[in-house]
Amino acid sequence: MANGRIAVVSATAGSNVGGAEVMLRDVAGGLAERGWEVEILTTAAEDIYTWENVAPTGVSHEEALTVRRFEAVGLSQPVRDQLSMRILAGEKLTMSEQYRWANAGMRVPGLYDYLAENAGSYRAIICGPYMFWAGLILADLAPERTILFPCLHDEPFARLGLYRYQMTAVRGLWFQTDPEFDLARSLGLIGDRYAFVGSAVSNPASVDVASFRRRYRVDGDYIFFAGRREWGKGWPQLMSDLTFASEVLGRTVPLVTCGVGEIGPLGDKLGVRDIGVVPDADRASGQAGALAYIQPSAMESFSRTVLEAFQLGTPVVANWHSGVVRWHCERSGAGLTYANRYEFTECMRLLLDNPESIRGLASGGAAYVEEQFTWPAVIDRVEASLEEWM
Amino acid sequence: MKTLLITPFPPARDGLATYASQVYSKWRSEGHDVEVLSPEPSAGKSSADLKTLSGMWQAARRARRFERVVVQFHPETFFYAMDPVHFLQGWAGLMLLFLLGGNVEVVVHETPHRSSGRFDDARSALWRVLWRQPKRVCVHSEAERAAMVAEYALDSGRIYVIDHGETFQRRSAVTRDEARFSFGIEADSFVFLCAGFIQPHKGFDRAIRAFANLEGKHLRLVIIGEMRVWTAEHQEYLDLLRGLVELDPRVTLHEGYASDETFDRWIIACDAVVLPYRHIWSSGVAERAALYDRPVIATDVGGLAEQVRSSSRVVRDAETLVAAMSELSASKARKATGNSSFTEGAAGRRARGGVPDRAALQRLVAGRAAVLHDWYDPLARMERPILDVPVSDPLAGHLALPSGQGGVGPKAIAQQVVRRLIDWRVVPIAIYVNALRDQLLGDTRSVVGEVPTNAQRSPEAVRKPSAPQRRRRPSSESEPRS
Repeated sequence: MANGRIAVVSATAGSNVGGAEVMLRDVAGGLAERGWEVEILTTAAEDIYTWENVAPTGVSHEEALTVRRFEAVGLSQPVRDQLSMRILAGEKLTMSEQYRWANAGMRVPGLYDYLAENAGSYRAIICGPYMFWAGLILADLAPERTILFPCLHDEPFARLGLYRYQMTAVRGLWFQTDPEFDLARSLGLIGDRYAFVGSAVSNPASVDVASFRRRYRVDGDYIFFAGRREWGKGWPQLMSDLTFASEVLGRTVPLVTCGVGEIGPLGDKLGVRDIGVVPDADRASGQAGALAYIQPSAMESFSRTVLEAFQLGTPVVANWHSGVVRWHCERSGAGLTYANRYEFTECMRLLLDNPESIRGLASGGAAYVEEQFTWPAVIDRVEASLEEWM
Repeated sequence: MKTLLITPFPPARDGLATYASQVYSKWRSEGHDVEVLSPEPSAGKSSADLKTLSGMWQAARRARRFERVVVQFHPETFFYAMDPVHFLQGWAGLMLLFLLGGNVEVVVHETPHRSSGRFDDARSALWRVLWRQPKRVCVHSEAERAAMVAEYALDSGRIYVIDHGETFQRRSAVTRDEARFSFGIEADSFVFLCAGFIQPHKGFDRAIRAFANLEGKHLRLVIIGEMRVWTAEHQEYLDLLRGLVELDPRVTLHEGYASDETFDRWIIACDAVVLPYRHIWSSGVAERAALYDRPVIATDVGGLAEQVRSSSRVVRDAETLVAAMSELSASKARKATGNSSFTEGAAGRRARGGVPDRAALQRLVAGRAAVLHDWYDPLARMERPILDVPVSDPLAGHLALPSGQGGVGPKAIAQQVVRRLIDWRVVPIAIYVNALRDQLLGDTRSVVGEVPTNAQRSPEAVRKPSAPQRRRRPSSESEPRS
């Protein structure tokens, strides 16, 4: 095995990245460890909000990986925003409008040039998520060599015709979870080949809850959220739900949060402690010390942080509307879901009044992750799929 | 003292008019020369449309002839609506009265709920300016004073707390037995009374649902009231009450206007008054109950907790409402309050090993949430007509805008121009409409085949509303796909 050169195409290899980019980086690292010659093709941008080119373009060697960075362009997006509004409104855009929308966002022309000349030198080109511009050019330039991690979740953009073309044109699709596959199938996005390779989370960093509490001045019980504080991740709704719960319960539900994004104005009844961007070890300590980890996002394709919480023995309280998170909670038994502010409030009541009842739920979480979401198993399936398809 | 009372006034079906008539009577009995100016023609001496500038100008001119002017303030008296234009119109009229009307005092019965609109800060600033003009601003409780101070950054020393019931007088002199006989109520029954206008914020549905948990054939819950103003929401709420009342023969709903005497006779006839309001500033009914020494069960909203007497009970949720009704009537609450509807009990733990059972806890959360949902938002769970919508394909019917495909000729160009001009307004509306549609579909899903009609519902179903009615959840855990 380990016979061939693999390209992993990712929007950024920076620090402020999404779960898909982290996962691609881990897959690349896992393949490299097993002897595959792996190159990461990415941009010089390190921030998915600004796409500002920060890292030097060109080739660098990082651990066992060769990293080729290209300049990201198209950072001003008024046309994309306007077209996005029409998509979100449910309007059916023509195919040319869809491409105008795709090209009005972040693009990487240098990557196109590179792939136009060099795609044939790779045995396989792994790309994701489905909305990354490079996936579209790969569907044109090298569909027979491209495997896509769609990282799909239910949103209007997933219904665009250009993505149906993209996903059915490529060699195959790698899915992380059953709900993701079910969604793809319901939208007619499945082509000739697909496989469930899953995804994984790394072993938790060493945890020191006492040190975390001291360093960030966190006292008492709290719930925890780590992630981007933005609309797409359900942050405003979480603030609204917390306010309601605090009013109903007559006490503040303390939330500690880390990550990027503005937390926005907070009402009097909210006890939110924002610790900003923190090292992974501190994030893990924060999760480990929490009464529960909160996942308010309805648009998740895998939800790495939920599985990290499971690993750490922390129960999860999650948005029922996220199919994949609901799937994790139901199969592991390690989390509760809420479908509205009333259920959210009752989850909070349980947490505050009887924390051991929910804390006890988490006992099965670590085993669930260990059995199904470890990197060796994922890389096994990735390698098997590569051997079979390419 | 020559006093002008600016207020709704009888004959009118209006709680504020009833309140004002008692103030009027008391002051006159004390020897004051009191005259009433009302927003509609009434038993008062004069009237003016207080929602217009010209009407307020008339009121201000008239007010200058009096030594003291007392305004009974409720937003509905002075504002057509709270959109920016009507707000400014009403605000200007009040400023006119406060600045030109002489020695003006205001008794605030309610202020508008704080919105989260674009002009909220500016609106708050305007209210602040307004409330600084009268010589005195009065409210009925410390809670209301604190709310006004916090909301409008006012000096607390300028806001006075007056007793809501200081001018209230008894309107009926019958005995309890006579009152019961007149309504055909058994002498040995225990009667809870809900009285007032039928509107969601009065929360009478809360009382019915809580009452359903009480055991005892001798127990009665009587609801008297009418719709003050017809709106679709009020009608829907009345329908909800009618449906709930059907389920329990011990509950009766007397729709229609009750005269002051009849209203008081109902209070005399009852054993306890239930005020399960969702929001209110202060309650005239609570004061009337106090006149006849009837205990009150009231929710902890506005100034109610402060207003009710020591013999009364203040509750904050469905569970404590049931407990208070049970305690006052010395009746037993059904087990429903002690099992899965309210408490974790044994359901949360597996028999083996004491490990919490996720499915049981999830059901517990759903069951409790359903109670909470009814407590705060009764109409959302009502059965509604099942719409002919493709629930299996929720995105199929989204509102879509024209594709804007290019074309040639003046017509196509004109279309493009129009589109560019209106897109910025139309697209957000389309998003909003589609979001509403999605919400409707979600509600419809929860109704289709899952919520029985009222006639099909059993009383037990009302006692223990359960969340699974609202949303179809997978009952079994899905198997992993290997």
